[in-house]
Amino acid sequence: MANAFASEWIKLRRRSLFYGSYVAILAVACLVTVLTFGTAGGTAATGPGGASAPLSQLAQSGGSVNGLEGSLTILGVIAFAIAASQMAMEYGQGTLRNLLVRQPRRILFLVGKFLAVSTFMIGAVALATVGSVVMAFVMAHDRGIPTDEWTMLSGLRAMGTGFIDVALATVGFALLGMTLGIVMRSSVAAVAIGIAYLLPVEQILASTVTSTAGYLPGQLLSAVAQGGTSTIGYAHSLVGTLLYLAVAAGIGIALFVRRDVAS
Amino acid sequence: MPLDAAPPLAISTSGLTKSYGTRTAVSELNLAIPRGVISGFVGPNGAGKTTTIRMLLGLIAPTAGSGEVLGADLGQPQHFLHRVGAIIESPAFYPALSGKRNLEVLARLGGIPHVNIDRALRRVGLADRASDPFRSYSLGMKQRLGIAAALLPNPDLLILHEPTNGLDPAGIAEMRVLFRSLADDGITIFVSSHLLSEIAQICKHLVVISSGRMVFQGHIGDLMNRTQPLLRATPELLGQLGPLERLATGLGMVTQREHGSLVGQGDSRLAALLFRAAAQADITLIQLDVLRPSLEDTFLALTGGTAGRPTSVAGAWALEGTHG
Repeated sequence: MANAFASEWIKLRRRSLFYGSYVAILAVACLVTVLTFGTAGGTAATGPGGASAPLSQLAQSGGSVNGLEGSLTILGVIAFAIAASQMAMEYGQGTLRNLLVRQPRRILFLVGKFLAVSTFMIGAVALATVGSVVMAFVMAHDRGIPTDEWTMLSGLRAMGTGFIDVALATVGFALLGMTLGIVMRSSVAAVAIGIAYLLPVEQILASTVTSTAGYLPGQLLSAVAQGGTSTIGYAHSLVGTLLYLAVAAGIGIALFVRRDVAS
Repeated sequence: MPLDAAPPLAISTSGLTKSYGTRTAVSELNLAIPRGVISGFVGPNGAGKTTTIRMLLGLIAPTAGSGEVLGADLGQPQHFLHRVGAIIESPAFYPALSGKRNLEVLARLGGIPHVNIDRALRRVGLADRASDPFRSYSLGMKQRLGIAAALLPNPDLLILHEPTNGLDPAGIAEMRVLFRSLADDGITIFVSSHLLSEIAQICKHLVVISSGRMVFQGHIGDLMNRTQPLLRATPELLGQLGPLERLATGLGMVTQREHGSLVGQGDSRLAALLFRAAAQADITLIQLDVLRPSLEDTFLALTGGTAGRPTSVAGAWALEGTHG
């Protein structure tokens, strides 16, 4: 498994993927943070672009990671796309056959690869957290939001919890991406289907049929990232997410281990 | 080691079968590839070569049958693949990574020492271009990188599918030398190729399959001996063709006329008898050839192929000896 992990990281380290992904994720987190603080008002408001936080909420201990949590959907989509394409390209390029000759224990190969992609995404979330928190301080200063609570122990704990929740959700998106990559065996198809579902389809479902939000994988992962929402509790989102991920992992492993490598 | 001395086998299968629904790609294949030889694996397109190779490498699960590779159960590829190098179809690598990085991916995965990477690159003549991205390689260089990848684990067995695809004649000759030197080191090479002339030059042992079934397995000489050589005799004068034909018939030959010559099945011994009989009958022979069938001709006869078959009986047969 360690060999599969190290081998996968050689591919993940390639410049275009590594710097491209990390810069994109950092930019998204910073941009969402700027928008979160820039649009914050005296009270909570909901507009066409989504909900804006009240200034008083941003001043609380968890305010520093509010922007990071808000960027989860885009972070999740990026994680999903990277994981799906990293998996599906092995089929598409025919490299899987070479890899499985060198590591015929397919479960170890798959777990090593997943851990490598997961650590890649956790690194990106860590960078996004740093960027988002720095940007939050800048914006708070600009908007006159007090940051005293951010630097207290409860504030630092909220930062840590925020990072862990977003990282967990991002890894969840990566697992879903890898599974779809295995199922589809085509990068383009896996990414297109995944994004089409996570963005328009699920968003429309969640906003039109409110009772479904607590059962949709993307919504559950978003709730995990935010430490629970007003409609989906943290425990519910965590259990629901784990169930979805267990099913996805089961399907992915079963297909990967049992299916002939004929491409 | 002589092939008939029951040497230990590098690959053995029993009733190896792969079916996709109602279509059988490989049917009851009983391979017996001796260790330390270069064994050719030939068959027409769609004969089942790729499916067989994939089953030997644990990439495809057989529908039925069993086997052993290097003494380990075919169903447990983790017990033998660390001693096997392989090229499966076209060389597949990551276009954005350099040749060396591509090998690093495989070496790390297989727990292979880093030093093997440089050694493999040197052995296939790619050391100078190792840092270039794979996508910038020519087809021949890609093929060399595939061979380097196969050599990474210092294998006891190489399974190569069309290893000389895309190589120029000089490259093919280089690979021939490389394969022979690897075989001299005791490595078993199981190589499939469409280039029958290449197979004939480097292989002692041959497996021929057609429509998923084995049609020949054994020493390449045994295969060639299955087909009788041809005798071609040409008298000086066309008018002597009739008397010569009667002499040949008298010696038990079944002949036919072809462009002023007599052609029929016969070996060197019969050629000597015919030469003597013609001399005694005052018939001057300007040509007397014993023609051996080429591997291609034998292959086509075995597999029922017709492509490229000569219109003349003796057209494609290789010259063994000339008398007269």
